[in-house]
Amino acid sequence: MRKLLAIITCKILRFVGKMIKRGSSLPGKYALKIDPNILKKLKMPEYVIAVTGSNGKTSTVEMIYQVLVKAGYSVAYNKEGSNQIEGVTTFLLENATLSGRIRKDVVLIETDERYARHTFKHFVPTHYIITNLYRDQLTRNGHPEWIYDIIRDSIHDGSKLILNADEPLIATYGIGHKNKVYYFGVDQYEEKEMPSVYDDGKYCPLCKGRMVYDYRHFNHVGNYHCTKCGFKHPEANYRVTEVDLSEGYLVLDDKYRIELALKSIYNAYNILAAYSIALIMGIDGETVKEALNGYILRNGRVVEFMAGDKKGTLLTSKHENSISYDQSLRVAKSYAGDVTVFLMVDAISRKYFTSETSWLWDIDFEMLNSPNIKRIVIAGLYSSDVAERLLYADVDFAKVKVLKEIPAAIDYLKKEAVGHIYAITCFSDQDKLLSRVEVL
Amino acid sequence: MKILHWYYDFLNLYGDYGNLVVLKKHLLDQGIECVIEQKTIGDKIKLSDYQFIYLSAGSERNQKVVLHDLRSCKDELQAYINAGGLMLLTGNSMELLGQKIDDEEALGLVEFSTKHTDKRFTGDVIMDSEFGKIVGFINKSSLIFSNNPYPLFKYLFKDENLQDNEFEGYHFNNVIGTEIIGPILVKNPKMMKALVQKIMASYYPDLSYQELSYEYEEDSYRVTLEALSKR
Repeated sequence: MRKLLAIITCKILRFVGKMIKRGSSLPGKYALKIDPNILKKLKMPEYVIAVTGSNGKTSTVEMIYQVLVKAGYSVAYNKEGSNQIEGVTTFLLENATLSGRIRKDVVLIETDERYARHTFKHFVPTHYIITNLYRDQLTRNGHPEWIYDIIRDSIHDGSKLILNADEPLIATYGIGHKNKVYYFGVDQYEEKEMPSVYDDGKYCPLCKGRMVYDYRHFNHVGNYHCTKCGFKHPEANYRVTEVDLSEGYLVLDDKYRIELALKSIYNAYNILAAYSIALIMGIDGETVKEALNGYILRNGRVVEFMAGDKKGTLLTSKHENSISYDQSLRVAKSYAGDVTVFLMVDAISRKYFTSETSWLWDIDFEMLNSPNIKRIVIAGLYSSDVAERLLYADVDFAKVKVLKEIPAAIDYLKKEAVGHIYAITCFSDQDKLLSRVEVL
Repeated sequence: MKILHWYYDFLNLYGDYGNLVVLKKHLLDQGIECVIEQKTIGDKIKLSDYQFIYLSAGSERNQKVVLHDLRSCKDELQAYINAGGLMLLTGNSMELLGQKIDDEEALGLVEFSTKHTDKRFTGDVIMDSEFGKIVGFINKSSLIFSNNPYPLFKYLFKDENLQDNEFEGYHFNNVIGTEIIGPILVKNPKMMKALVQKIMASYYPDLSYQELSYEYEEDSYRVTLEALSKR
């Protein structure tokens, strides 16, 4: 009875909520109040796939969805990225019959790395994909090892694990796991060095002995082994066997060539994760190729715009996440023409207030010294923090303009930008740009 | 002048090296050339070769690894400090000089002990100090139980999830320890200036301090102090 009431309440609140454009967590919150065990009572389908990790969850889940739909599955997934328990409840009940049976073949969930341990008390994913652990939002997350312990609490014997072999911390989750473990990894490829300000792969996550890398793709991600305890990169079951980021393609397991709409190594990992789960489910590699070849993500993290008569691209990055910034800076640096980089740090988070800017020192701003980057414009409340960091990245300040006031900075861009504009900022600040330019 | 960035690879979570590269520039502006030497476990180190030692924040596991290594240098470190050596410890590295960390003996140089929890205590702070108002951020999982008679800071503002202490940090001889993480010297120009003056007074008594302005550091301090004061 409680179950039925919870389901009906959630569906009604969700219906109303959609009409008045409210978020997706409230209906689930009320459903959980009515029946705290509601999720345990649901009849889940054969496949419950969960994805967690620091970066790229939303993109990975979106690509898995594309593949599964192409393969003929019906899929329930939390498109809105509401990845904490209330949001997950809303979307599950939305997809449930009144008797509590999920009406789809697959439940696909993006889950916040800190909340997964709570969510999976209510139900256990059949397949659990863990992608990466970066320095991300350390004001809340502490540090990667802290999150590592929290994710470990979310892993149950009932789940098959699909792990990134190239990530030392994540590969350790496979050790001693009582269910099946699959690994994915990217083989060595020709790429110019990708330096990083810090090295989170220097010491073994198990024994703190010195690790050695045969190759690295970036930061601590690559092929490693510990010189002390013997812990090493596990053999990958699913591999990117070839990548060419300048040409913009990759090859999966020597067989399936996929053109990349977004030419980054990070994107290659997201595609590989989607490919891995598809093959585990028995989907043919050709189907994956058809679904993902040249696929352009819809999640709005890359937005083209015009600032006056200057063309630009917003690369939505995450404040408090140096790898996300490094990724965007690499795009600007690799552009085959002149570039103006626009950096804006105004509200550090959407969800909470902080003035913490130490993460700026972890970003490889030295990339701004690339000769194609002709101008750098810095805006927002914390523009002096950014400028100070750039002083110590040996950036030539003749090409830097610091304009704390955002409208003035954007006016300056419209007049003085040279070449293509790459705007690098966070969700928390991007509308301050997009509302002042013409979005294409 | 030689600066020791000690355990630079175990304790490096929050862009802490920024303190040293900016300090190096400030010293150069006063006519003092310095080198920053990064040393870690297994490296041969003679502490008396250095005029300034810096340690910063690491994960709980790395803090323990460092603690075990540091014990073998305890007497040498004590001698360095007694001789008036300058030292800064930020984040959870400051806990290393206390009596205990959980059930393990720490170096026992300051009267406090540390207990880890399964929670994180994080938040912005404004502190009162001998350098004026200090802004910063605390990010740790430990509680500190202190009888330390020489605190460094007095809390003026803190996020509510931080431990309810009145004072924070320590300052004895020429050693400064604070739980504030990251580039505290970069964001607090008065603290940076005091350190530069202290270094000059200790090692370069013939030089006189030149008043210089650092536009971005001063503005970033002002902006943060103002933003935090509104809360």
